[in-house]
Amino acid sequence: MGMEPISSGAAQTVLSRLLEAAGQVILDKHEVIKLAVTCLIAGGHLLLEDVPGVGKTTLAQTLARLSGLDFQRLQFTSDMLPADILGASIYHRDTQAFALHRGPIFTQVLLADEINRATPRAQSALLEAMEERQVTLDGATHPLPQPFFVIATQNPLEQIGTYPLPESQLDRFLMRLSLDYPGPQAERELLQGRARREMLVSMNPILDAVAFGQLQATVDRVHVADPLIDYLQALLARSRISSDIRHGLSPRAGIALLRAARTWSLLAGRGHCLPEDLQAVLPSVIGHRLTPRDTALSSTELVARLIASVPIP
Amino acid sequence: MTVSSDPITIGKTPITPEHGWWCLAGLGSALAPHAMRFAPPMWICFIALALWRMLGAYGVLPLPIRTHRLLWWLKQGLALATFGGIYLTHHGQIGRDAGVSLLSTLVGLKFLELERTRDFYVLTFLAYFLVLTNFFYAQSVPSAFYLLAVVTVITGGLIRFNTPRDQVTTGACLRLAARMMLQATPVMVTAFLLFPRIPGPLWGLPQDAFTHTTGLSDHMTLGEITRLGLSDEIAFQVEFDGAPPRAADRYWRGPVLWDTDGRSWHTHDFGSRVPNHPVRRLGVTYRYALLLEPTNERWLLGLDTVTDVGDNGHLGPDQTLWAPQPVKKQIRYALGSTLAVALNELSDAEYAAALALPPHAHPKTRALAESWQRSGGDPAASVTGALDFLRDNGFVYTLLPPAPIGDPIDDFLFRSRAGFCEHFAASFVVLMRSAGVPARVVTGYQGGDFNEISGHFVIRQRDAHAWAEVYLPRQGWTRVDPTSVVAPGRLSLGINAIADPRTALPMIEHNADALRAWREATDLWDAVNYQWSRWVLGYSGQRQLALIQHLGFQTANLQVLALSLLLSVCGIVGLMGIATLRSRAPTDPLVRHYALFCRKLARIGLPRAPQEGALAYAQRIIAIRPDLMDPVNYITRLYATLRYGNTRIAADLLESAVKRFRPRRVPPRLNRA
Repeated sequence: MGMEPISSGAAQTVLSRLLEAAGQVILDKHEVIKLAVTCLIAGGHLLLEDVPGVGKTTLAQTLARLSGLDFQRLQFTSDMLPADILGASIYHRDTQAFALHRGPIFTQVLLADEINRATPRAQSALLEAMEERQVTLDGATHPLPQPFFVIATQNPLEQIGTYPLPESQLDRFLMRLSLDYPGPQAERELLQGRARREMLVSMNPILDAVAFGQLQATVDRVHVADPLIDYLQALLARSRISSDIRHGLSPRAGIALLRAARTWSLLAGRGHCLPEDLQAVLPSVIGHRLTPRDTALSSTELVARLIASVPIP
Repeated sequence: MTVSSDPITIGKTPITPEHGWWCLAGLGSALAPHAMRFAPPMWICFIALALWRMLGAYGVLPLPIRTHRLLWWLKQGLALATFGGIYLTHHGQIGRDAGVSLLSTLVGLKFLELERTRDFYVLTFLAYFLVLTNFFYAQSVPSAFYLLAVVTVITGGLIRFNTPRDQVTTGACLRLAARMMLQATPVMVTAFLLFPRIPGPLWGLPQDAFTHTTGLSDHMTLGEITRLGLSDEIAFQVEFDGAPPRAADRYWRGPVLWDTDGRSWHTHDFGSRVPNHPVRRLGVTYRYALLLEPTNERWLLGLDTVTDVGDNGHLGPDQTLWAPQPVKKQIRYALGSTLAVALNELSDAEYAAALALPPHAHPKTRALAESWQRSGGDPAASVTGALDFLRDNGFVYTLLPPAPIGDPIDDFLFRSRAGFCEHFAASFVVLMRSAGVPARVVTGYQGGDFNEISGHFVIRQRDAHAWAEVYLPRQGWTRVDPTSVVAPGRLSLGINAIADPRTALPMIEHNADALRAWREATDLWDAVNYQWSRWVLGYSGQRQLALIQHLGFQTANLQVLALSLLLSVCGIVGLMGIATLRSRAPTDPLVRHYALFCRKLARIGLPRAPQEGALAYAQRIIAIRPDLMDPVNYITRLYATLRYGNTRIAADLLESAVKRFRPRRVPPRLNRA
C-alpha cells in the first residue's frame, strides 16, 4: 500500500471531487458530508444519531463506494451475540481442523445499524474491535482490514428495549453527527429524482486503497504550529474549569480534536492547521464527550459557549 | 469577560439567587462576630430579613417591591420600628454600640431590597464597612485573620457578579479574590507603615467603647475583686532589661485608696496641696517596658516603687503613676523601679487622711486595736500584733467568702474569718488606723507568669491584688501584705496555686506531660499576641515618625509621610503593572503586527471578537466592507500562513502591509462618476 504523502493541493483536488460526488447523492448536506469524510480520512469512527429514514445508510454506502472500500451492513438486534459480529472458529471434518469463519466485521466500511438495539455484550464486542482494530478468537489474533471505518447509527428517540451507549463507549467514536431532515428544495429533488441506491451503483469510485493511504499520510504532514497547540490547550483547560460542564475533556479528546482539525485543513487545501479548523470540528468531536451540568443545555449550545469563552492566543 | 459597558443595560443585570447567596455570605460573615456582642433581637431581625429575601428569590414568598403596596408599607414600618427599637435599647445614647447595631439591622433591610446591580454594589460596600466596625471591638490576631477571610469572600462576590455564570466556578472566584488580596499586600503594608497616623479624638474610639472593660478601678468594695480573681484576661505585659525581680517582690502598683465609708474604699484627691515627696533609692533600679491593655482610667501600673517615669506621665504624692489622659487603647511605656526606697515624708493632709475612719463604724475592731495602743503604743508593735492576730485565729484564704453580716470588717475579723486579699488589706488598715498608725490600701497586681518563648511577663486580671502600707516613724511608708500571713503561697506561687480547684482544667490536672504541653501552647499563643500588640497595634504616630527619620528624612512631618506614601504606592503599583504587562505583551512580532491590524479595523467600528479566528474575521469584514477585500485578504492570509504554517520567510511583508493598511470609516463611493 503506497503511503507516500502527496501535496496538499493534490489532496484537495481529490477530496473536493469526492465531496462533489457525494453531494450529488446526499443533497443539501454539504457540511455533514465534509465532516464525515474528515472522520473517515482521520481514521476515526463515526456515530450517526438520527431518526430512521433520513439517509444514514445511504451516506455510509456512498462513502464506501466513492472511497473504493468494501462495505458491510450489520443490523443490530437484541438477540445478537458477539459471534454474530466477529465470527467463530468452526471445526471442519474434512480438514480435521478449526477454521475461522469470519464475521461481518471483516470489512473496510461497516455500517452498524441501530447499535443501541443490541445488548451491552454485543455492543462491547464491536467497540473493542473498533478500538484494537483486530479480533481475537480462541487465542488467535486476526487483524482487521485497512482502513477500518465503522459508522454506527443510533436512534435518539427513547424507545423500549434499547441499550443506549454509555458515556465511556461514546468516547470511541471520533465524531458524532446527525443528518437531520433535508430542506424543502432538496426534498423535492429527492422525491422527483432517481432512487439514491440506483445512482450509487452507477457511480465510479474516486479513491482506492492506495489513494486512501496517501491521503492519510498527507494528514500527518499538516503543520501544527505552537500557537495552535496553545489554543487547543486553552480549550481543554477551559472545559475542565467551566461550571457548565460536569467532566472536562480528556487528553484522548485533545488528540482526536487535533487529528480531525488537521484533516479538515487538508479538505480546505491548507498545509497547516488554523484555529478555525479546530472550531469547525469541535462540535462534532466533543459534543458527545461533554456532559452538561444543566441538562436543559444542548451540546451545541455548550460547545458554542466553550468557543466563545476562549480567546485565540 | 464580556461585561456590557452600555449604561442602559448595566443597571438591569438580573440578580439571581446565586448573587443573593454571595451577598449574604459576605454580609453574614462580616456581621457574625457582632452577634455575640448584641442582643438577640438584632441578629434575629437580620436573619429573618435575609430569609425573607432568599425565599423571595426562589419565589416562595412575595417581596416588598414598590408595586406590592401592602408589603412595601410593611417594609417602611419595619425600618421605623428598627430605629425605635435601637433607640430604646441604647437609651437614646449615640455611640459605637447604637451605631453598629443600627447599621447592622439597616443592612438587613437593604438586603431585602436587593433588586438591581446598584443594590448589589451598595450592599458590597456596606459589607466592607461592616468589616471595619469589627475593629471597634476586637483587634486580636484571630479576628484580624477572620476579617481578612471575610474581605476575600466579599471580593469573591464582586468577581462572581462581574463574570458570566458559565465562565467561572465558585472556587475560582474565591481563588481569584485570594490572589487579589495577596497582590494588594505590598500596598497594604506600605499604607500601614506610611499612612499618616493622627493622634487625638479624630481616630479615637467612641465614648462607650470601654463599657465592658474589666480591671481595677479607683474604688474597692469588699467582694468585688473576686470576679477578677477568676478572669484570664491579660491586664498588661512586661519586658525587663536584664534579670527580673523575684515573684514575691513583683508588686505592680495601681491606685492607692485612702477614704472609706466602712464598706467601700476610694482614692483621695489631694489636689495641689500636697507636693511630691523626695524618694531615696536604697537598691538597684530595674528597667522595663510595660504594655498596658486599655483600662479607660488615667492611672498607669508600674513595679512598686516607680522611680523613673520619663515622659510617660507623672507620679502622685502617694506614688501612683498618672497618665496625661485615660488609657483608651493599648499603650507601651518604659519605666524604672527600685524595690527598696525610703519615703519618709508625710504632709498634714496625708496624715489626716491616713487615720480617718467613719464614725461609729467597726466597733469591735476599734476596741481590739485600741487595746494594743493602750498596752504599748509603739506602731511597729501594733503591726506585729495585727499580723499575729490574723495568723493565730484560724483565718482562711478563699476566693468565695460568705456574704458579710452587719459591719463587713467586724464580721470578717470576728465571725467569718474567711476572705481574700482585699478583706485582709482593708481590715488590716482599719486595725492600724484604730491603733493610731497611718495606713492606706494599695491596689494593683502581684506576680505574673513568665513566658518562656518571648521572655516577657504576662499579668492577668486574676493576678489583681490589694495590700496595705503603714507609716512607721523611722522607716516611713512600709508595705505590709497581710494576705501573705495567711496564704504565703499566694505570693510565691501565684494565684493559680491557691485558686479554687473548680476552675482548674480537670482533664489534664493529673497528667504532667499534657499540663506542660498545654502550658507551652498557651505560652506560644501569648508570645504571638505580645508581638502582635507590640509591632502591629502598638505602631503609633511616634514610631512612624521615628521610622521616617530612620529612612533618612531630616524632617519627619505629615507632608513627608503623605509624599512618601504616595511615591511608594505609585512605585509598587507601577512595578506590578510593568511585570503584568511584560508577561502579557505578545513577544511574537507577527502577533503585534496583526494586533495593530485589528486595532485599525476596531477604530472604524469593526472589532475582532477574542474567539474569532483570523479567516472568519476577514470573511466578516469583507461581507460588511467589500471595498476592503484585497488588503484584508492579503494581510489575513499572510498572517495565518506565517503564524500557523511552517515558514517564516517574508515576515516583514506583514509589517509593511499592516502599516500601509488605512481603512476609512466610510467606504469610498466608486460609482459616483
